[in-house]
Amino acid sequence: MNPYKVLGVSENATQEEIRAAYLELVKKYHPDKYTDNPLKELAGEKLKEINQAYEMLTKKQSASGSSGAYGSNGGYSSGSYNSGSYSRTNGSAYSGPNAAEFARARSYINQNNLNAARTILDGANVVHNAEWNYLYGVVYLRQGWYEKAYACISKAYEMNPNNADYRNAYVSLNNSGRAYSRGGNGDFDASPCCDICSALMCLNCCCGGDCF
Amino acid sequence: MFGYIRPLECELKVREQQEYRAHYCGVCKAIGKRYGQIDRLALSYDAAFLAAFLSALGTKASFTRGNCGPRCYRGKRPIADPSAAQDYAADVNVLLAWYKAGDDLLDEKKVVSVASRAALRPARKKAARRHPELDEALNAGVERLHEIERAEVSSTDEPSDTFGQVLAAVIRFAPTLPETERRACEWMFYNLGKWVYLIDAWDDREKDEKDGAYNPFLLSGMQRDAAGFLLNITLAEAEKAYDLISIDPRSGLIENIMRLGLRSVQRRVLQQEGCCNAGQTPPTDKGDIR
Repeated sequence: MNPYKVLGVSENATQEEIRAAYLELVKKYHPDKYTDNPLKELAGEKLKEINQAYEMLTKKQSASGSSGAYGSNGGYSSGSYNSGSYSRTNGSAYSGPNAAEFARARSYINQNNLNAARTILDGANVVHNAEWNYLYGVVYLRQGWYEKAYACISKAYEMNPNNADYRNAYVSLNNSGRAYSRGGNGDFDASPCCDICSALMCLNCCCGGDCF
Repeated sequence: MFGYIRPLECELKVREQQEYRAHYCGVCKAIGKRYGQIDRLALSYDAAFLAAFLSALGTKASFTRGNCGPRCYRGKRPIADPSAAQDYAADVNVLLAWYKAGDDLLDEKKVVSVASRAALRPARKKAARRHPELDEALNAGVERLHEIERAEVSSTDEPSDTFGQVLAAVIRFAPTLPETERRACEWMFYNLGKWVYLIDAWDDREKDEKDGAYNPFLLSGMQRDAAGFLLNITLAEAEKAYDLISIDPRSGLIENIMRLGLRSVQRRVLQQEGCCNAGQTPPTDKGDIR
């Protein structure tokens, strides 16, 4: 593994540049972004690789004695970010009705075995409470059925707004549903400049130039 | 296909734009060579994207300056050399154009669709022989979509899922796809397919209402805000998958399509603006579709 390549920095990058690139990548592959995603493990692997690369580079730096400010414990390498399980974020496990069934459904979801999870959730004796709605919502999310996923997760959140899992899923879905305010790309294709561009392109076309 | 997957041209570097055009021309030439001149009319932007994407992922494309037969008045320009990626994009283009024509035929019963389907028939046969699994997946998708249409399902999940599966199959059976990238690519293309279906359905609402054709947005009465919300989630998922694909070196053209082009197309369709008058009605709140 070439750590410079993994972090996308040049071989004579400064420590600050390396750290900036590292933080950028951690944000990009942050486990929170991939919680309910079928590619969760892939994202976890990627993050692991990034952590390793960062550790290699910072260790090298501290060995040569220049700076040790962000040693190996500066990285997101505590391991908690890489574990791919659906452990409860709020610590207390679900203990309501059908606890055993829901736990099994959760573990099937973790293995990306959506059919098995669905079979359990569709069972005749299973109560349709907040937990049920949440789990069904995650199944829909991983399957790519976002309209139903949103309905289920909203319902779970409405039924029990204090649960951290439900709230996180609800908030992250809302975040990706609202358009990004990514770097102001909102208005340049409506700017007058672009109109001139298109006018020029039209002209170019008419004159037998280089247009599509 | 539908032509929604394209870059935001005014943000492309000159060489990226040349690269994009070279792929577009390359696929066009590949269709001509593999199927015949008339089938080149079925060329779509989406196939150019597929060729560019596969080239970025695998063997990098090389370019040669050349002329365009039908546009002989134009000077020479770079054209992507024949490659497995170009050929596959050409095959996919023919197959999808055939199914699209079939779908139009069912919806509109217009002379144009009858003619284009008839013209594409021999090419489609040839393409299906080259990629039997893909043809089968397409057939299954169309079959399922017709069932959903007959049942008048009012949710967007089911119908958009069918086209998502189709595009996932398109990338799954690409001969040049590295095995390590398969999962992420499939999720990316699944979401792209869903997005294309949804945006096309939104775009066709008026026409479908007039024709009495199936459209999930009409059936559910979903408003623009909610539709934009779903489209955003779908694109965000496609981007998340794209982030996990190792394209080395990072292709500026693909970056542009994935981060800017698709969102720009979506903005235009949701705001119901034609491409050419984008400058005349500035959006009220920038960058936010809701």
